[in-house]
Amino acid sequence: MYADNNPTVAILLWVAVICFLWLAWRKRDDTVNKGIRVGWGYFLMMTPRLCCALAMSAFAAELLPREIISNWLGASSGFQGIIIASFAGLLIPAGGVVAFPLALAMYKIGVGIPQLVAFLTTWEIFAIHRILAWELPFLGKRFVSIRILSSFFLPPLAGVFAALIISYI
Amino acid sequence: MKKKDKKKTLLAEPITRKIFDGSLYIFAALSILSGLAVWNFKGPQAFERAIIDAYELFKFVIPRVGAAVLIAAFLQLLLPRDLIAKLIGDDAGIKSILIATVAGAITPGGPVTSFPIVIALYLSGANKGALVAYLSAWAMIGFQRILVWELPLMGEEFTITRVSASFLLPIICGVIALYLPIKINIPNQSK
Repeated sequence: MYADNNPTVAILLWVAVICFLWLAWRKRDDTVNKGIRVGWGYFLMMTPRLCCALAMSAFAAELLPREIISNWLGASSGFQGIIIASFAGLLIPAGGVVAFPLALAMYKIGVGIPQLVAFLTTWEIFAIHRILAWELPFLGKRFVSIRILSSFFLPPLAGVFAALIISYI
Repeated sequence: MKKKDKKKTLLAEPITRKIFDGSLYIFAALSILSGLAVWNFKGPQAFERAIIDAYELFKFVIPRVGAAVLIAAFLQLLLPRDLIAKLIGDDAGIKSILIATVAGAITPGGPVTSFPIVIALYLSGANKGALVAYLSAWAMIGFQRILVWELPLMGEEFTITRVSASFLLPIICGVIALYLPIKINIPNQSK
């Protein structure tokens, strides 16, 4: 996956940083310093979590039942795999620090991109811990039902869109 | 929370979490446990392979994360958030859904930032379609999670595919939500 070690994205990101620094500098106030301070805070917060995430992902790739998962969710599992993956996304009651390492481990052991897109989409919009801890208490039952009724088909749809994008581009 | 608090949250300073909190200890414990499991069930060679793998990826990821956190910080400071909230609240139709989708995508941070904004938008008169679109866009195509987690970990090919497959979805569910015959009723909040 990282075989070619392509630096294009890293360069683009740093170009964006320079643009933002320029925009902040144009305001002629404290924004540059503040931005760097906040960014540094994020970096300090991220790094230990990132180390855990990368280790977890590498270990999970060793531990996950490779054959079963790639049979059910591999690139050749098609629409059925997309549906299974959409339901599997409900099983992660945790934030990005757990979901992305797990997704990376699944990617490494051969889960197809459309299936993985469906899996992550379910986790993103229906993460069960977020609905229970935030959405139900703050926004109420009616809001949750409106959201479920309007969104339940989105994860498979995202998977199908991803499959179309891959096969046509 | 009172109405005034919500207004404040909308324009609040960027939220930074503590570096060492309970969640980090849990993640550290989880990674150590999974490491022990690999050593135990798959042998020291598998363990070593995994560590080398993780280290290689770390070297690859860290310059990207460095840029990503700065972009996240500056976007947060430079966005005219009150203007966006006004635009969403003032419109009753599809336009508000489109603006809400963009606003959700550029909302940084976790549920601590996004949910108070949903309530603030509701109080400033946003329709249910816009609220659903906002929350879905934040969850599916939120720039911060993409920049800080997805792009470094999953790589550009996956990220670009997923984001292109997803960027229309908040609009779709927003429009459906707008026409669903359920009246929205957010607890403990009166307009």
